[in-house]
Amino acid sequence: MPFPPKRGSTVVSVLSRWALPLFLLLILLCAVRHRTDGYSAFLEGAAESLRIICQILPPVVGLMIGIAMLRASGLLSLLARLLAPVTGWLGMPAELLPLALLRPISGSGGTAILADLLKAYGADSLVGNMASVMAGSTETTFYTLAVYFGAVRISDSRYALKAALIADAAGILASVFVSRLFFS
Amino acid sequence: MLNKIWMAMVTLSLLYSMINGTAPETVSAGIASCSDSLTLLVTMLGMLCFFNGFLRIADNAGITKGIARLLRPLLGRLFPDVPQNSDGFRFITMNFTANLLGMGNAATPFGISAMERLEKQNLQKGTASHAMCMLVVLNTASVQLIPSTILALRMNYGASDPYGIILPVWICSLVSLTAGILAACRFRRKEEALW
Repeated sequence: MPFPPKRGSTVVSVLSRWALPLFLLLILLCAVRHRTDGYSAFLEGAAESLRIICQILPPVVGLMIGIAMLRASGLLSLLARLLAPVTGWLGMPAELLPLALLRPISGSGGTAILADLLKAYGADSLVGNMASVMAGSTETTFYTLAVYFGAVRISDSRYALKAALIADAAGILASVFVSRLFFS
Repeated sequence: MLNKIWMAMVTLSLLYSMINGTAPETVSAGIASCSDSLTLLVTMLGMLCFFNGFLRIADNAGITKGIARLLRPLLGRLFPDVPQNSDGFRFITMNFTANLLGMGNAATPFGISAMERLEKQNLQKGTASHAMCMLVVLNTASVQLIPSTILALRMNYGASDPYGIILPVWICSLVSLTAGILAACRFRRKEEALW
């Protein structure tokens, strides 16, 4: 029984690890009570996943090519070094800057950068963990605005963009701080 | 905008690589990344099937509706101008709940329907109402109970504790959401104080 929490981390780690299993059980029990055909529902959801992957494939491939080239040419290190004073002051490893900047612009781009960071620094590193948290706390801003306001032909979005960017910035800063707290 | 970014990434990398003599390696790295991407996407497909499958069960089992009912009081406070028995409010609730359960593709149609209803109620056509701004903020601040894509990526890259980020993500998402909501309310008050 994996009850004594591993890695000596305590309540936090246990909660995180049990959240998903409990959530899954909750779903299944509700399905039973509601007399839903769980298997069919599962298949529908799985089929939807195929559609999603097909949709994100071109942008993910495209952006990963871009990122690979940025890394291999040395341009990424150059940019990181130039911006080091800013990110150092925030406590954010410079490698996360592309993620912080690109994620509000492109969801698939952000995912691609996260994948690249996990591959390059390992999923257990501070960089890997912080990048995961950062990716989880922010979402595409410009695209969402364009879709939602475009759908109803709104031309004056007033403070929507400002508020959304403030939310993104808060999420990014919070993830730097919270990750340091949890993972180092 | 993504066009400019991607073009800049690829063009500048190539130029820079020619200056510092790493051009062949840079192009090879680009090509090699394609098979990496494919491997990644295939693994993600498997894991997404897992998560989306369960989430669809949740949806069909009425969990979405249940969560929507729990959220009514909160959403009512965020959207004071929208009558709670209106279609617009219902769509807003479903949009937020779908996002919460990680069903972004379901959330968007609800969000758009909500916007349409809000525009009908809108006294100044073509200008975003406070409710519209708030809706957009709720959608751009990602609040997901289970960040499935990120979990799938972490498992793919061998994280020893893939779920360890769930609690931090919850905390940061809430911070982000709160900041966005407070900012929107503050901007609204400032604008209306000027009238």
